Amino acid sequence: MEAWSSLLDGFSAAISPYNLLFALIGCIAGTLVGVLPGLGPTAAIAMLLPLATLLDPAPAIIMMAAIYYGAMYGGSTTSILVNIPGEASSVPTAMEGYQLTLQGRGGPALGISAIASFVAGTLGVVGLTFFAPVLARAALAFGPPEYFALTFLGISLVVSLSGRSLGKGLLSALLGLLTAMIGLDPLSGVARLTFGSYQLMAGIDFVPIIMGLFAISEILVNAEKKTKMLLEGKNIEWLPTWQDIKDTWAATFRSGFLGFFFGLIPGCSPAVTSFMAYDMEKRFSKHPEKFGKGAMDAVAAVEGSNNATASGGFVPLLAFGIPSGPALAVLLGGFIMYGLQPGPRLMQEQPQLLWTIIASMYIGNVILLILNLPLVGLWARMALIPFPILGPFITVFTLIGAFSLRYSFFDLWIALLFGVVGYFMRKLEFPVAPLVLATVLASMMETSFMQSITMSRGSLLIFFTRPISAAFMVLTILSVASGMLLIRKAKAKNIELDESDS
Amino acid sequence: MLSTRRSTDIATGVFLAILGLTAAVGSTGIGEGAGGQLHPRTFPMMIGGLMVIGGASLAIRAAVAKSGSDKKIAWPDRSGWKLLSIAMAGLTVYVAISQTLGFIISSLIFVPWFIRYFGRYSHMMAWSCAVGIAAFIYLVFIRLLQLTLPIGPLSILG
Repeated sequence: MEAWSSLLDGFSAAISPYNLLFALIGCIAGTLVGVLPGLGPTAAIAMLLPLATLLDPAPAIIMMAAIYYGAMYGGSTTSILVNIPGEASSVPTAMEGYQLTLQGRGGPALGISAIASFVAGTLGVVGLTFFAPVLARAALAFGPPEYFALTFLGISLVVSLSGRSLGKGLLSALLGLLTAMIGLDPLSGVARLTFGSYQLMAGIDFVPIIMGLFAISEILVNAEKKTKMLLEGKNIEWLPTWQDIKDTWAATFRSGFLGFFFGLIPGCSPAVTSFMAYDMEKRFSKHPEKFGKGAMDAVAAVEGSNNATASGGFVPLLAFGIPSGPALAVLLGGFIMYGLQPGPRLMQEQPQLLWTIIASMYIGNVILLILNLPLVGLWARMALIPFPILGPFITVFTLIGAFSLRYSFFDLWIALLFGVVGYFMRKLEFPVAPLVLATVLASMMETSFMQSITMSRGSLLIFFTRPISAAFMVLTILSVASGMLLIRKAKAKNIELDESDS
Repeated sequence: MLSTRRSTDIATGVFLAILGLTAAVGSTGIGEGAGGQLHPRTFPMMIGGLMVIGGASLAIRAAVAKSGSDKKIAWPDRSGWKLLSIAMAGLTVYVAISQTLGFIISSLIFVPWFIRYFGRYSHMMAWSCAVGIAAFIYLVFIRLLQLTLPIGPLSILG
């Protein structure tokens, strides 16, 4: 009851024209940085911090929060239309959404992505409203062994998704882990595998790798075929049908819950939850054979989990002042700039401000849906641009996105190198997703492993004696076993087919 | 020569095994860290070792496989290889000249070249796109988002 009345108070403040205006500005800025590859919400919030100092705390924080969850909405656009996932969390969206675009269904995919983002994002805010303190306490039970087990589970799930190419999926993940090892050791600061190059000392970031594997290799594949139009001879649909919505609502809700719960864990990247949601949906789907060839329920699941993770991330931030990622760390900086320290004291001393921010997130999700749905048809027309014109646009935006991350030309060469790697991986049927996720999670995986081993004085049993980590390890074993079982079944089927052919 | 899945899997397996071996050998030179239970070389060496095993097993399995390994790889034909090489060369030149000329001027060179070479569009069309993209870089990335992108000789304009 108390939460309801506080929320109503929050709504009465959040719908003031002044606060609404800054929620709108935040949503537009977030969508824009989400659409532009490589520019994440972290940079956008940091850029707008000086502007925020001119405002009162409530509109400033409302605007910065809107940029954060707005970027999640925008991130799917280029992934679906031109195969450029600006963030690791959008990689599964690109894998499925771009295939739908090539079938003339880019518009419906964008529409479903906006609707799933709205529904799951709102679900996440409901969780934040009613269960924040309790859930945040549970999330703090996560220590290094649990993080290691979670990252291990994430990578094994993606490898097990490789289907019949399980061995190639494993090699792809190992290549990603090896790439991420280059640079300074995260704990001791010792240079590793740099072979004397000072540029390699800074390590290889995963964003140029993703840009190369997807966008640059896409350019190369289309250049090779001298493609004129991406959608030659295809019927084009602009908006999702009721059937699409009916087919994806369950995926949206499932991924919303999954994304929210994993979003509670500080440091759990949206990339982990989006790959987990993708894997879960493939197992639940009535049409798992469509995965990899354009599955609408996969798009809904991944985008839903992204947005629910973003909302879930606010729980540890507001309840304990613990940011669960870099973007929320900058947002925490915004709170501190006003002399506010998120945590139990803020809940007691500034309840009005806190509830205004929470209420603004409901409104922000509605604004984003209203902003994004009418734009779906417009964005979808992008796929009608002839490839010789679209290609250089993709190249320029991709490379500027890769550059803007660390302002390093070295990252552009990395993007080109991984463009070539991506081209050969496509030709040789190596799955790309394990490489991406392994690159993203390698540092967390290694650090948490080292910390766990130090905690246990060298014993690996620590991963099996703590309940949460033991549960993740069991799930890891089950996912690998189910992947191997699937291969066995597929092989048996093939042998039967071969015999019947002869 | 590398036209079937069998031959490419053998070649890729050997390549990845060599890469893993290089990483494992390279990691022996990693210095001592500031303490802790495990040496900083542990992970790179372990991953290098696993890559050697994984690469070798891919190559061996492809070599002894009975079915499905004669599948043809969809390599491009001669003109496809030429177009691919030209696209790659164009991208390489774009990145190389961006460092000295900045993104705006480099895009004014790269965009019309790409549109003309791969699409045979008119000069008017190619240059309109190039000017549009250059304006977008300036207005959105540099002015609006305040990214410090290199602009090369244009910096003299202040």
